[in-house]
Amino acid sequence: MADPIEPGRTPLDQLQRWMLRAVTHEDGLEAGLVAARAEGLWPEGARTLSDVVPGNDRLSPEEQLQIYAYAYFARLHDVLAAELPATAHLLGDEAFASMLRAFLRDHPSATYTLDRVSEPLPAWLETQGEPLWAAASDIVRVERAMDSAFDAPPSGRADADALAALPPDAWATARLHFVPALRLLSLDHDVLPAMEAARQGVPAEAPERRAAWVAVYRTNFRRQRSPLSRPQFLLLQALLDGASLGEALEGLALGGDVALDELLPQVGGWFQQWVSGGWVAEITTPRG
Amino acid sequence: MNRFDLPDLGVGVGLRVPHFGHVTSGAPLHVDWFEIISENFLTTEGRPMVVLEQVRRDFPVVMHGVSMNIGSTDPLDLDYLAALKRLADRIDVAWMGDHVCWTGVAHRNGHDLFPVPYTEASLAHVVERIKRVQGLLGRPLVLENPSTYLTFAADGMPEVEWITRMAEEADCALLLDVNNVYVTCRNHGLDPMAYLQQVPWERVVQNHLAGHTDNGTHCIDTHDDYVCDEVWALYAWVQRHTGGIATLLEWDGNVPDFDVLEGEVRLARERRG
Repeated sequence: MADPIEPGRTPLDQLQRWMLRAVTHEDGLEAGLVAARAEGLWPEGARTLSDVVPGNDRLSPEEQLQIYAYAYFARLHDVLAAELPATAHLLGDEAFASMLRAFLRDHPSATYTLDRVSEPLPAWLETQGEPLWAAASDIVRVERAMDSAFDAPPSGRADADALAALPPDAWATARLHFVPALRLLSLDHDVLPAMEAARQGVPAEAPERRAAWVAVYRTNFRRQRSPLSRPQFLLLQALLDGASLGEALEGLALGGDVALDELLPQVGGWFQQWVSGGWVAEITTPRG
Repeated sequence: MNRFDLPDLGVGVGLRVPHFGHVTSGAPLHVDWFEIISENFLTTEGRPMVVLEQVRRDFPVVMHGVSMNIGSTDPLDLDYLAALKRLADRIDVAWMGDHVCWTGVAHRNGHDLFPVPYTEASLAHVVERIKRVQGLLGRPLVLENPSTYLTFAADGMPEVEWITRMAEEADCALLLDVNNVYVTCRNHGLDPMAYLQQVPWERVVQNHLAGHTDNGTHCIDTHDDYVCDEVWALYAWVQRHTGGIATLLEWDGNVPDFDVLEGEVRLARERRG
């Protein structure tokens, strides 16, 4: 739950705190005006609403304030529905709107950019005791990662020739440098089928609760996502953390996470997939 | 020429995502300059920044923000201002500005352009903040008159008088949004021509034009339609009266194809003479 707004100290401060509380209440303007009164935010000396906002012969004070109250939620709803289309699709329009009102009650925006309003949303969804909302939290994570990938700086990318040019004895010490747009996610729900349903505009099943791994990246400024196996995820994570291929494989084997004899035959194919997908910026070896 | 020696850039449009493909396609663009919403470029190094840098190679660019919160009683957001300055320096913008409004308080953001009560106390408060911001940014701030949907009982003077005194006491520049003048005057039963006749034009470096929604009892500044005849008439008066001010056509909702914007730009040019 968000901290309450403290009463203002000057008339200008009082007016602003009162108005913000009134027009951003999750249950609408009427509830906002009542809450502002109960919380001691009413401007000093004002007994009625018209003592603060006089209105005119065409619109009452309530109707004038309602323009701002309507715009507040409509703007945030439109922005977040555009940012999180698969989340909105899974929950449905009405439930998405209700969820947002509850979220904004607990996490009113404190950031100048609308891009960051949904930052606390995944963790908040997980704590609400709704299985569908918990699943939606993982969709939000993927959708936010896709936006983050979109905003990452451009970079060069290694091509298949760079991979083919790597001598066999250089593989163990080779380091893969990934593009800044690559994001790896470890999730508690298999959300990609629901996200694909949203993309196609068909009804989405509730995501199955099971461990899942996803890579998010971009190709020619188009956001992409791809499922990963657990060994792929662990290897990619180790390589992203700066390990050489040999160090990464050794780490996985020592950790008992993956059987090396099962892993090795797949690694070449993965490398080709990562390079062709534009995930790899450069491949370096100690010899350069 | 205004007192800041900022140039008349002609008639431009907002740089918006639906037009990214067109404006970078190499097709001829029948506009003189672009304005960006500052916040849309502060947190990205991706396609928006790549497009902006390409556009900047061929056109002047102006930064216009919505989050400076200049009228608020909250402390100035120094991180935000530093980010604005970095972007302005990187893009070498012609000028930068925001709105005469507050957007949040108590460290919460309402993401709207809330009206300031037009009082002596709020005037002193805002003037002091503008001076600080101009010092931090190292350039004059260009502040826009807002569309407002309510007045406060505490108001002690008309908006145009308050904004004029703000600009003179803070020595800042103004963006006169002709559509906002019309919307605000309609909403509060005022005469827009009387408003325009009191504007300190030597401080105005830019005009905005936009469409709005007329609900009968009031107008909403929706930026989602053509400029209406009444606003065109006010704009023509402004251009005749001043000898020409850089003009920006805003269209943010139901954004049409770029050639529709170019049609509005052509109409603005005709009224500039």
